Amino acid sequence: MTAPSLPAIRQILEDSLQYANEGDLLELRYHHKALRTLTARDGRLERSLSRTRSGVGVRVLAGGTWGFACTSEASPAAVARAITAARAHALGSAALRRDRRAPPPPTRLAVGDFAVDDVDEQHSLDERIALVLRLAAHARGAHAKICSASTTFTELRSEKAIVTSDGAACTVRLVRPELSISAVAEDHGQRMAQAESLGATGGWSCLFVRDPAQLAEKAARRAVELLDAPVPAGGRAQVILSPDLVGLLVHEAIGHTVEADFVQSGTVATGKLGERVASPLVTLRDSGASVHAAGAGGTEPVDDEGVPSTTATIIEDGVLTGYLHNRESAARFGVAPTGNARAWEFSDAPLIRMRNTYIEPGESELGAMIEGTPEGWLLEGARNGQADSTGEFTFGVAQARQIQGGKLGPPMRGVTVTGLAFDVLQTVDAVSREFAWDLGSGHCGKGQPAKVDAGGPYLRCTLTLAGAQA
Amino acid sequence: MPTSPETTALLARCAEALDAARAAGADDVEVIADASRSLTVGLQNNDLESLRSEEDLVFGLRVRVGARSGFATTNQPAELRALAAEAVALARQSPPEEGLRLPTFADALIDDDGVDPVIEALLGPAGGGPLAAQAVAWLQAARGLDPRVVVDSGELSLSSTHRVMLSSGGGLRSWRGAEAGGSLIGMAVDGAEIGSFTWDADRVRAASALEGALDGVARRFVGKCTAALGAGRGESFRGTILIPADCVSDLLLDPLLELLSADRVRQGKSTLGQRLGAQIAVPDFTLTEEGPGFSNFALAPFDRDGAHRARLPLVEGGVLRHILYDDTEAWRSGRPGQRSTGHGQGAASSTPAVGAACLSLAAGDQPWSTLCAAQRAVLVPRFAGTVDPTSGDFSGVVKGGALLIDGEAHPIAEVSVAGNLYAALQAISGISAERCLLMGTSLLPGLRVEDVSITAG
Repeated sequence: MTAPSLPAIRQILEDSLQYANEGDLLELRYHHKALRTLTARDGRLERSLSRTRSGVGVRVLAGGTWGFACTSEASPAAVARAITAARAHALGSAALRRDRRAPPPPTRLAVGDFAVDDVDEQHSLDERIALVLRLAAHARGAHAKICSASTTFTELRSEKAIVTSDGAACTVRLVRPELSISAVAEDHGQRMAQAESLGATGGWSCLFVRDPAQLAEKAARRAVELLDAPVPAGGRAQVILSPDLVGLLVHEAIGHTVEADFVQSGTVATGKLGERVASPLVTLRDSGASVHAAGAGGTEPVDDEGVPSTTATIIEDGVLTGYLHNRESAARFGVAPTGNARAWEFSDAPLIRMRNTYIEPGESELGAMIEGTPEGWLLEGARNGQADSTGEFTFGVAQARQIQGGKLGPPMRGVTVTGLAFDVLQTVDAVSREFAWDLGSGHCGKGQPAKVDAGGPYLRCTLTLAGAQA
Repeated sequence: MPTSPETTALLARCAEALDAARAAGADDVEVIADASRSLTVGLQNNDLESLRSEEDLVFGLRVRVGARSGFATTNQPAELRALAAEAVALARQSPPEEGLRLPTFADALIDDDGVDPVIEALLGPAGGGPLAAQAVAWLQAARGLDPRVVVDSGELSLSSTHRVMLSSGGGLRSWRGAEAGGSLIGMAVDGAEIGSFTWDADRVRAASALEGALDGVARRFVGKCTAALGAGRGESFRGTILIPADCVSDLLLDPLLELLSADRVRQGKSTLGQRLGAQIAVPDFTLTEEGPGFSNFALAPFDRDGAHRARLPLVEGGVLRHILYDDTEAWRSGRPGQRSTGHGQGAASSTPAVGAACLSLAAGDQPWSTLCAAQRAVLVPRFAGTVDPTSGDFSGVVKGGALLIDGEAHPIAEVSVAGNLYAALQAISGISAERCLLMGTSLLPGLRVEDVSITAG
């Protein structure tokens, strides 16, 4: 049996709008995901996986409440059944909702076919297997102390058709390749693992903006360097953050607190529009496009409510200017939707999520920033992070290098860093010209995963290192 | 062996995939199907957010072609032939691997009676209204405990799962289970003061136990939210931390279990494979993998490979006894006679991964209140940070924490802790006599740990 084509499925969804009741908002979203994953380690292909998942998610706003149902079958009959179920869910729970929702006001919705660059680029399985085996071997051979190394290559192809009863009718096609290289160093019973990764939206030319062999060497070198390295002392310090850490900072520390659903619950960003929350050197945006550099991992031409992507300015020259919205929250705040409603799969309802979040580059040079730091740290390598309603953020750093008198010291082990988001942004006193997207691998979690990216320039600020105490 | 009509139907689908894989050239085949249904009431910003239902049927197909293997998965039952062709094609193009085998079980194991009929009935078309009403009543009850609490998000859900496996060795597996559970995420807001995010959750197998479980979630959630208010600056020192039962996994057990996984041992990311029989923790530390689960929250009697689940002591009296294997890691270990310990985890949509399904940590002999009567210590109700499961280094921020001075709690913010997992296991100075059953699958006490770096921001 051959699956219907994307245009045919879009037509099925458009035909299914006949089941929309007057006054209700009906949202139909077909989503097909095909994932291929290969992992090589120590000369063998450890994992070879192919996953496809597809279906139609149906959201109905009726009686002032959302109902959601889904079906894995993209047939007219199955979609009709899902619409019936979603409407029954909305009407069956509507009386229990305190704050009845009105349908969002008319807005510009996407019509047509959208695709990212190189979406049809194909690489054979043999080519991909050769890639992961070669890079794992390269990392393994990079140093005598490397006892194990692995490479995982993942490619996600995504096709959507989005149709709503108030005008959206589009298809969206994306491809997101991702590469991760891990190396384990061993010496006298001590072990240290380090990983480097890349993630992009687009073809291999977007993914391999850096030579992956150099990435393998970097993972191996860092694992060896940190084997015997000490942990930095804990405490408040001036630091220079690399672009991946700037990405983590803006994602965890600011991005989550300005998602309008969180804002409505109450975060440090609530009620602060128009206030100075950061140094004038800081301008922070979130975009569905890949600005400044190609291939950002969170690129989305259209969001999952059918809203065309925009670039949302969150902080302009240090002043908080906006939040991230879906259609409903935008109406509540009296602004235009920003295109931030995103769903992971057909079986998920859209939530307000970030896309590509970044700080605009500045005028400084990294070398001058280091030379101008009498006492501090150069922090590099993003690990996991978390945000809090209080604005207190935390994220892991792979490696720290002490700066004394403007000179860099040897590498030390990474630590977790923390601070209060707006307080830390107020301390920014230098922003470099360099710019990089560097958070395109992995996922952001908020009930459901989302592919995001983040980045920016090098940035100097003051925060707290959760390091050692004597 | 008698089976239900649902099991018979799923087995027929699996047999179709198995035959297709064999016809495509597979020497050994394992087919797994996960059929699930769920009904969920979402909560957001102190209100009902939505009611949603989902039905899912996912097939996974693992094949061996000579010394090569491939895996493919789909949620499209009409595409099982294509699935088989894909898995075999992946195997044919992969390099050969010495010693490769699939877990080809030959016996039948059917356990289809684990579904509470009340939950099953509520999962039908009429269940949404009553579940939504229960969710809203629960939300109101939680907020009634303290109106300063904001439920940012949460959910109340019912679900059922039916897993079927078929092996080209001639064996079959079937298990059905259902659960009900709820979670709350939010914080306390008192005027201009916003407390730290916190969460709580629980799940049960019987509908009759749901109300009590939800009441417990609400009380713990509200307690944690309000305890985070009024936080002041902490102190920097090297000393004692107290880890309540519901934070023990995040800070210590989850990374320890990674180190106890055979895949990490083989990959060089854990040295514990070389330390079997060695003292890796204090003598009071006894950790057990509980195999098929506790009596009130039974798990499938077989793992993701179809292997029988059984209790397995991991650490006894501080001495490392076993590490965890699934079938793949057993043959990849290269150790003659090494068998799976029944710890292949995962869904039909993925290949198995080594892991624990159910854990207990032995109780100590001191009440939690006695452990907390420390001269100077930091209480760590939630840890937001990083634990490097290779080096054992951990560092992160204490959420909703308190500085304990002579047993009196002073809420603190912007305080972080740092240390090393291996050292922490040897520095446990107290294990509470009380234990908490968390999410039905972890029975844990609270711990007191010495010599941890504590930094105030």
